[in-house]
Amino acid sequence: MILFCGIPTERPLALAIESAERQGIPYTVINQRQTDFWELSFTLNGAGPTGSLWLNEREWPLRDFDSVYARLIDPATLPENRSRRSAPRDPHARARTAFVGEMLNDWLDICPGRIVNRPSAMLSNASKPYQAQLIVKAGFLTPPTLITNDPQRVREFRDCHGRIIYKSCSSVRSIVQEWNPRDPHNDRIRLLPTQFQAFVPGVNVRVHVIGDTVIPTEIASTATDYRYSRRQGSDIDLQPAVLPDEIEEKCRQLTVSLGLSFSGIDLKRTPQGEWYCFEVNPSPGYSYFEDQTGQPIADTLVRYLAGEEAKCR
Amino acid sequence: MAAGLAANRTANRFGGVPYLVLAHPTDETAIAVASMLRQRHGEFAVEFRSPEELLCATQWDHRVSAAGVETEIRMRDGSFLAGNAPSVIFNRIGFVDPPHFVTAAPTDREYARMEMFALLLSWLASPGCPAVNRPAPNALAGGVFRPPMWFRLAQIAGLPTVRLTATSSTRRFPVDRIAARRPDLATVGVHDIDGRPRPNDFSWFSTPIDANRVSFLSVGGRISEDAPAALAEPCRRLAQLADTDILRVDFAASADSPSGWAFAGADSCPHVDEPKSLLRIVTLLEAIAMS
Repeated sequence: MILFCGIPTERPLALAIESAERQGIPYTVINQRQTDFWELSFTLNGAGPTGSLWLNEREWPLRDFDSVYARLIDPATLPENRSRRSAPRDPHARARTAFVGEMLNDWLDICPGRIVNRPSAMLSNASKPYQAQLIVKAGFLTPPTLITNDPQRVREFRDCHGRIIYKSCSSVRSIVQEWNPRDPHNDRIRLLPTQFQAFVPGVNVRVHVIGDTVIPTEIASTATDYRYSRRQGSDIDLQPAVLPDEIEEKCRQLTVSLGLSFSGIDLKRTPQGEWYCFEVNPSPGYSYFEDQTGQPIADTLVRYLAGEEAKCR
Repeated sequence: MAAGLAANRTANRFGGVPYLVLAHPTDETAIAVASMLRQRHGEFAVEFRSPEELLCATQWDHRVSAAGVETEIRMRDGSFLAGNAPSVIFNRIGFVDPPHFVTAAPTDREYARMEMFALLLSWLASPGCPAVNRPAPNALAGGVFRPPMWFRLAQIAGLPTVRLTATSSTRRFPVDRIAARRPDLATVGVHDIDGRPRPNDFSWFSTPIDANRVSFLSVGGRISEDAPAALAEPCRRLAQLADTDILRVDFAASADSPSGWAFAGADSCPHVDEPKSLLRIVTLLEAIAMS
């Protein structure tokens, strides 16, 4: 039995639920926006965690769940927990939502089974340069990176590498931008060290790794950050791709080394045939790639959760 | 031994200050360790820096590439942090709050915290920078887990533990009548709201915890000499599972446990004031610095 956790209308979770339904694989869904309608309890004793979930008017022993796909968001950001102008949220309900979210994450970290992904394994993404060190250990190239609060060092870095980009250093999402030496705001980095990277020319490839299965997608775009292609005035085209065996294997090993069973790895293939790895996303929003290419990412994920392994490209 | 050998040594072979201590200026453990290191190696063998000094460094230059990691940090006084090449860092800073963002908008302040945390994590985790404890992606001073994870690791390490239960509804899932409420195990609870229990509660509970407590310190894989044999090896395994060089393991008296003690918690950044334990930390730092 698969347990899906999150907001069921959110596209990656919705696709997975649809896939389980289509494949006739048993599942149930915890809706994070309806925490008043389910209850959870678990006990830790010598034998490990045991407990129950009360959902849909019945009690489910937690041991019945062989696998979990969780896309939980910070409870504080749920619409029902945000303060409205004249109607403050019920503090008891808000505290309960936070408690239940924390409890669910605690359980996901310690329960047996195929958990996609364990919360503690998703933390390497909290620091891109830290994760880059782990990426290098896995045998990938990473772009030369400088984190500094000194504008002069940035100028020297640009002189050395030609084009450079900047982006956040933490897991906070940022739009990758090319650094412009004439930008009047460049000195603002004195306030906070900022991450700069040598621009790597080539073709972006997003690789989804699910268990042993590797699903690469090639992205044709001239935008600095292909996720914002249209905003940056560029067209975008996504196509299924094939990776060299060696790169495919490195993607698998990198995913395993980070303690993940599902990852979204951002690669770039240079005109010289080198492969750079930029980042590993531990909770990939894969639906964009599946919707554009028809690649069976959700089906593969659900088969993995059901305990099957099916290699596909 | 080390005192005699290193009495005249102030710089390491790379020209750096051998011992860098990162801690709040009021951290008594860090102060005592720094003081002991100074007594044994000389005044200039130790550099003590606060998080504020680190966060207000005038120049950060941290480079990561396939070729390796290089870091240069110039402090407000014009010096490079620990001469750019500390032999070992005794880090007691878990989280950071950049002082120049304290009055910024909450989102900007949070962004600055996350960015500086990301930078410090990358620096402290880099191969040329042996830090005690090694940093973890959730805490710079390493090995910070939520209580259920500590209890699970303790069980895997072979330590007896109390019985822990979490419930989102005591009405739907009643807990044992003798169980004690444990609001300390959650970051939020009913008691945070109005201070009174409700008929339908959400909380953590455990078998009642005895006020009689003991703690044992694991330093570099060695456990306090006074630890009972039945607990010493599992404590060492717990420190290993948590990937910490320094770990205090706490126990509460328990009639259910053969040793008479049950695991009650752990702290990878413990307050240490007992001279023998401080010396063990100093010896560990010396061993790393000289390796």
